[in-house]
Amino acid sequence: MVKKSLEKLLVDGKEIDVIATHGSIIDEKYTAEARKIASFMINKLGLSFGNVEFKILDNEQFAEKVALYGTPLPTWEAGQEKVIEENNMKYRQGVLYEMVGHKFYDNIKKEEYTAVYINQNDTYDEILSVMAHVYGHLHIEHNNRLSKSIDANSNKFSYYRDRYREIESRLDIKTVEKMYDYAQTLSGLIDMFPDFHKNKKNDYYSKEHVYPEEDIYDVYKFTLENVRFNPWEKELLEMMYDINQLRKGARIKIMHEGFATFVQDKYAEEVAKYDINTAFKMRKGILEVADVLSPAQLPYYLGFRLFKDIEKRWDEGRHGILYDLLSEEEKRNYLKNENKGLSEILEITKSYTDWEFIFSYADLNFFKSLTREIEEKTNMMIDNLYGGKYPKHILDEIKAANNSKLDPNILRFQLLLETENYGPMVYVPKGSFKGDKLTLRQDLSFLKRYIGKLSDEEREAFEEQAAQMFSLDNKYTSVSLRRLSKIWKIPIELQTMDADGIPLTIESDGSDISKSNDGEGPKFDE
Amino acid sequence: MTSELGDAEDKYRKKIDEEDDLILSSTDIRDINDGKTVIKTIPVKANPTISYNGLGGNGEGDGDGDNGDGNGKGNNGEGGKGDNSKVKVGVDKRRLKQMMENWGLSFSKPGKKDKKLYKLLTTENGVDENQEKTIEAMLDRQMATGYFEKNGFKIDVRDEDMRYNFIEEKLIPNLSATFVIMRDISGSMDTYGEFSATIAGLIEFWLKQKYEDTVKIRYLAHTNQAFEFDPRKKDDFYKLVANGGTSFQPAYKLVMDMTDGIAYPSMSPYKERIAYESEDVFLLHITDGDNYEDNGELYNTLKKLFPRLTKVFYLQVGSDSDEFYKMIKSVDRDKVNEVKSGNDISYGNVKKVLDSLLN
Repeated sequence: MVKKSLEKLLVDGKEIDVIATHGSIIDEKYTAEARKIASFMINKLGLSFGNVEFKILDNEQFAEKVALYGTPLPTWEAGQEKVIEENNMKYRQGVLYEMVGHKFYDNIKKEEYTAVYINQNDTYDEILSVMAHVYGHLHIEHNNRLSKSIDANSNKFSYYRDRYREIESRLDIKTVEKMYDYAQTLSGLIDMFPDFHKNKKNDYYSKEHVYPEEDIYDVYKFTLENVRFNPWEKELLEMMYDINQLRKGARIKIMHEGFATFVQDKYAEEVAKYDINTAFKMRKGILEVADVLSPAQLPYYLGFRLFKDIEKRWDEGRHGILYDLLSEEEKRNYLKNENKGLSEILEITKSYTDWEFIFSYADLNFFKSLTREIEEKTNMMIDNLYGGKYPKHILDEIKAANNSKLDPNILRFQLLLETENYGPMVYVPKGSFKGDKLTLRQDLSFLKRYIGKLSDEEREAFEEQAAQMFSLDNKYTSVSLRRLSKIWKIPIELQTMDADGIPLTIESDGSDISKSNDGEGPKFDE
Repeated sequence: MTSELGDAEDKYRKKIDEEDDLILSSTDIRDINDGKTVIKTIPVKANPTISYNGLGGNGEGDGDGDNGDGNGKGNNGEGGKGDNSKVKVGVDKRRLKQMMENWGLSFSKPGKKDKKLYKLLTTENGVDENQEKTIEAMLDRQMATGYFEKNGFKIDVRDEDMRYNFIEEKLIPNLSATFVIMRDISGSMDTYGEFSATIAGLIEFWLKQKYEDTVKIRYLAHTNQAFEFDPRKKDDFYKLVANGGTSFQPAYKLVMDMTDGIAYPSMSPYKERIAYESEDVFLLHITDGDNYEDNGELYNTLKKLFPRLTKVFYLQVGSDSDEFYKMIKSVDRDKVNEVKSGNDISYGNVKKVLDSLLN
């Protein structure tokens, strides 16, 4: 009934549906608002997305959806996630405004929808602002190459849930949980960067018989292919393999949040044209999230700032080879109204991941202004903390000590390193598997990309740090190796290094752990 | 209300007590005002993965990895060290539950119910309380307000603690329909067979689009008597010709009988009542409009029948008399879609007929 009175929403010539529901009832007020915002997003900013259903939920339902997002099976981990999330929301610690859920197929309407969960405890203005934010997420889910490659579907997951319950009812819960835990350990060995490795393939005419024929980075898959499991074990492991593909989404986190906040900001600008008061509130809400320098908020902060920067540069024509050739003064006076900011940003969202995004768009100038901002903020904080206690010259010393570490180069470097490093990269070396022992080797070859750019002094300091940071010699690894060995039923060895950078081989036969210093250590060269 | 998570929370509680190779830690919920006072401690277990020494804990997940300190600027003011701050209560809900069970306050074991507690929970509001959640909410309140620390555990259920089971009503659309094609087969109608078959077929096609394959089709024929025709021979239905007068009263009476479930004349082996209460019923009447009988009784039948129908399509081919055409409209204007037409299967004519029948 609502829809007829509103204008059609056309994306790529196809009409899409946007509704907001409260339980099983359509919320007409929010539906109308959501469609209005969607129309702004599509027609003014050029975003595109599919059908959307906004589900407005209370805290408990919301916590359940959050728990089911990462672990869609009814396991103890999902229960734990729910308990934590519910308590967090109850005591207003880290309140979630929204969550973009998985796609689902509506059987009555015969269409695919994306479910978006919204907290009903938000205020009316917050919900509108959050809806604008969500459209940014939906645009990336709809267009980004990596995002499209992850097949997340509610109907599939609910089938998995049914299967899991069935397996549980035939066997007992403990047996199934044990296998589930093992699968979670294995899932740390899924290959997150299939596009980054340079695989040395076996020569077609070569007569040597080696196995595996190339370096295998997806150890989980390698396990599925080479270990003999019970049928139910295999099914559970395959299910978990499919579910854990979701982890790849971490590779576009900065872009996701940055773009969504960028779009939200654009909407606040639009609202400001007719309702300055609401727009002010919205802007305040955005800054509360995107202007806070803490590790958890980093994707918002950085992504938002970077998109703003790109928009400005491409609007004013300050990019390209010819621009770079200009002198500093010419650059300052340069102005060429191109207004290509928005189209450049939409182009970025199509195919980039965080690493590529930061590598190609965040130049040194951007990081220079970023460090300046961080410096100002730390100074303000130090004034607040110690202002009354110490005289000025001591305050200045504290400030200088805090800010001396800030270096735009290092900041960029750290960020790039983080975005291609969500956990250790481990692989099965070519020709290493003969059936009696599985060898895993750590891959640190990506460090080469960064070391090459450092001076000798910096390089030495860095290598010392890296050895401490990237060593795998800890109890998590030991327990994991023991578990892996139980899955494979043969000894497992891991070639890594200790905290001093000396090669270290950790071996487990399922019960004991032994360490030795002979072995090749991690791989550093391509 | 069935939940997608099922008993996952119970599994989690059992898992915490179990001894295994998982890594046990805990997460604190702190007072929002000072950021130091611990309101609640939740025990957490984690599956180990192969991980770095430096970049603490496991990977990313969906939660907020607050421990990631790799970027050296985690100075957000609130990360102060809480060494000398007061820590109020660190009891978790699970332990309290165990304590309650020891005191005989368990609501999971029916024999051991505490009378006072039981009374409080059941008699006051005869509705559907969720006892477990109610007690949990009470404990939460007691812990957060410091009541628990002062007085220890006491049963003190207040209005704001009451939790109810929410029963959600779901409306499931009924996707079934019956389509009744009623055809005048008197001698004057024999030339209109092809035309009426076309129109009926197209309407049938439209209904199948809307109701998929759940639409049932019933074929009725009438002169001054009426009967149901065998649906297996539906191709012959439009070639049926008979002599005799025409009367609409028995035809509409027949539809009445079918909805009532009374025995009626039929050539079809299938006899099934039309369940008009639970499904949509559509009626298409094709005739040339000549009714030889009295209209008074017919009007009464129509008055009774129409509330049972979802929509009536009346197609008059050729026009001899307008009397019935006017009458059927007067019974219920909203339910009837009527049209007069010639015997012309041109695109324009068929479109005109369908447009006015189906709006």
